[in-house]
Amino acid sequence: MSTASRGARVLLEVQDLAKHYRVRGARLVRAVDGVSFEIERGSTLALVGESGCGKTTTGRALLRLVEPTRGRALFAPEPGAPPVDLFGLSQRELRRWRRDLQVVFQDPFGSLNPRMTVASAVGEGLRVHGLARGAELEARVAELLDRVGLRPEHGSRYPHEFSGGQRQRIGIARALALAPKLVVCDEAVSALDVSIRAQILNLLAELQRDLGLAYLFIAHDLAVVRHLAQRVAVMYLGRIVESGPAAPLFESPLHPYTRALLAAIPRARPGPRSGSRALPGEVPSPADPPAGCHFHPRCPLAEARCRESYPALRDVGGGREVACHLVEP
Amino acid sequence: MKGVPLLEVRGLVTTFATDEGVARAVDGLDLSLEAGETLGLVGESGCGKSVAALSVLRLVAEPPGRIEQGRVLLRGEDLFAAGAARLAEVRGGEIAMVFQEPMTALNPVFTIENQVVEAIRAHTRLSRGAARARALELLAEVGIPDPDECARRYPHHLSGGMRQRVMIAMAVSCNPRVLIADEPTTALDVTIQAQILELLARLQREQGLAVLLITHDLGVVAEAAQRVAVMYAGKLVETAPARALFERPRHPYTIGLLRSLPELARPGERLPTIPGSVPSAARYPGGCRFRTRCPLASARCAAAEPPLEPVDGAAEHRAACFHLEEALGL
Repeated sequence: MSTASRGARVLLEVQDLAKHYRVRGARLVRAVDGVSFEIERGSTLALVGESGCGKTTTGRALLRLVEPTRGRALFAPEPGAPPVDLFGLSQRELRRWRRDLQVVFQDPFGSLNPRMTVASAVGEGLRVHGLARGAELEARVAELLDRVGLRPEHGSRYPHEFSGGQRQRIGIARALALAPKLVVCDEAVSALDVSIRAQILNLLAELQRDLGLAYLFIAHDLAVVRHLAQRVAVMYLGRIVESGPAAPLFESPLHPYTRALLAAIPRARPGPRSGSRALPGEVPSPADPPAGCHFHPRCPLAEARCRESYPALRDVGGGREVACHLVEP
Repeated sequence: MKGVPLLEVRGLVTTFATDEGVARAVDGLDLSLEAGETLGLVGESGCGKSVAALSVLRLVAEPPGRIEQGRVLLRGEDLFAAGAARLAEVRGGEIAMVFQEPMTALNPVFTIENQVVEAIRAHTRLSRGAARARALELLAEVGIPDPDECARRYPHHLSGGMRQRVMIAMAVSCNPRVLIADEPTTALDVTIQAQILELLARLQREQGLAVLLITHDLGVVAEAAQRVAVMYAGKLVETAPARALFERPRHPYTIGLLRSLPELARPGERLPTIPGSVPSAARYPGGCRFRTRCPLASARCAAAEPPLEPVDGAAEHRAACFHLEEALGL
C-alpha cells in the first residue's frame, strides 16, 4: 500500500510502546512491554484482557497521563498533514493535539468536578482553548447536551444530581466538546447497569457514525467489545498476544489465551456446558513474568519451546496477528 | 405433599431512612429455597437484592435500615423471632455468607490461618490443633495450591481470586445448609470467575448446599442457577426455572433486560433499550413500579399493583404484570 493512502486511512499508529515501573528501587515491572497497533479513522479498536494485562496503562500512556518508557505514537488528525509523535512532544506542545484526543473514564463521577455545573464542565475545554465565549459558548454547550441526550436545563445542575448513566452522558459531552478525532474509552460502560449500558453503547455508536470518531475502547467485557469494535487486540502480561478483525477473532480465536478468555464468559443462555471452561491458575505478577511465553504455565498446549522463547507476534493473514509457537502461519 | 422449604422468606419489608424520605428498599418479598438448589436473585443496582440478602440474617444496619415486616423461616423456625444467641449460632453456622469484596470481610492484621481457625471455633468445640488441621484441609478443598503457605499469609498478600477462595473456605467450614453469595465473582476477572463458579457448583454437589446467588450478571445466573427471581424497585417481578426465564421471559422488565444484552444482538446493531432509569427508592411510582418505563403501561398499572401470578397456569413460573398476554407480542 502506498504511503499516501495509508496516511489517509490510519489515524494513530503506536509502535513498540513500553511502560516500565521500578518498584521499591529494585524490581522492574513491565506493565506494558512493546505494544504496537493502528487505529483507522472513524473505527474502533478494542484493547481487552484481564487485570494487570496493561490495557489501561496503554491508554494512559497514549494520553500522556503516564510517561511512556519507550515507543512512538504517530497521530495524524488531519488526513493530509504529516503525523506527529505524541510521545516526542513537550506537555505544552501536547495541549494543541489534545483537542483531537479525548478520554472517557469508567467512573464519570470521579472525573467530574463536584463544584462545577454540568454546563461549565462540558464547556471547560472550549473556554480553555479559547474557542468560544459568552452566548456562543452557551449555544455550543446546549448543542452538546442535546447531542448526548440531555436537556438544556440539565446544564445548570451539579454532577451529584445525576444517575450513573446520565453522568456518563455528561462525560461523553465533555469529551466531544473539542470535536476530537479519537476518544479513549477506558472501561467507559463497565460501571453501568445492563439497561443503561445499552443506552450508552447506542450513543457511542451513533456518535461514531455521525461525527466520524475513532475509539480506543479499553474493556474487560468481551460481549460489549464484540458488539462495538471493528478490531480487537488481546493483551496478556503487558503484550498483545492476538489481534485482528472482531468477527473472525471471536468466531475462531487462535491464541490459547483468547480461546480460554472467550470460553470463560458466562452466557445468558442456560443449559449444560461441555466440560470445564476454567483456565487453571492465575495471572502471574508482571514484576516476575514466566520465562518464554508468559502464558505457558496456564496453557493447556504448552511445549518445551514455549518455556524457552517468547513467540513473536506474527502475521497469519486476513489482518490477523498472533504470538504463539503452536499456531501455524 | 411437599415438606417445609429449607429457607423461606415471607412478606419481607426492609426500609431505609434517607434524605428524601423513607425508602422501601425491599417491599413484600417472598422467596423459598430447597436443599441442593441455587436460586439466582437478579436485578440492577438499587433493586434491593443485597438488602434482601442482609435482611435474611438480620445484618441490615439499624438505623438507618429497618426490617418492618415479614418472616424468615429456616426449616420452619422463625429467625426474626429468634434470640440473639440463636441468631449468632445460625450466622456462619447453618447459614453462611460470601460477599463481593473479600478484602473488606477479612481482617487485614490476622493471618489466613488465624481467621479460618476462628471461624471454625466459633461454631464447633474443636481444639486449636484440630481446628488448625481442619483449616488446612478446607483451604485445600477450595483449591488453594499450597495451603500451608497460604495459611501463614495475610489477606493483602493474596490475589482477589485466592481471597474469595479463603472466604468460601470459611463459609463452608461449619457445614452450612444455606450459602448466601452476594456478587461473589463480580470483582474477579473472567477466568477467575469461571474457577470460583466451578468451585461453588462442586461444593454444592458434594455438600447438598442450598445457594442464594445474588448478582447483576445475567450470564452468571444462567450458568449457575436452577431457578431465577428478578427484582425491580424492591419487588419481585418474575420468578421461573432458569431455562423458562431466559427462553420465555414474560415480564416486560425481564424482556427488556435480556434484549439489552449486547451478546444477544448482532454486532453493530442498535441495542433495544429500556427507556429512562430506575427511580430513586424514596420516589417509587404508585401502582406497578415499572410502569414509568414500560411499553405496555396502561391506566390499570397506575391504579393498582399487579400481584405475582402464574404464567400460563404454571405454578413455578410467575410474573407480576397486568399485561402478560400483550407481553407475548413484545
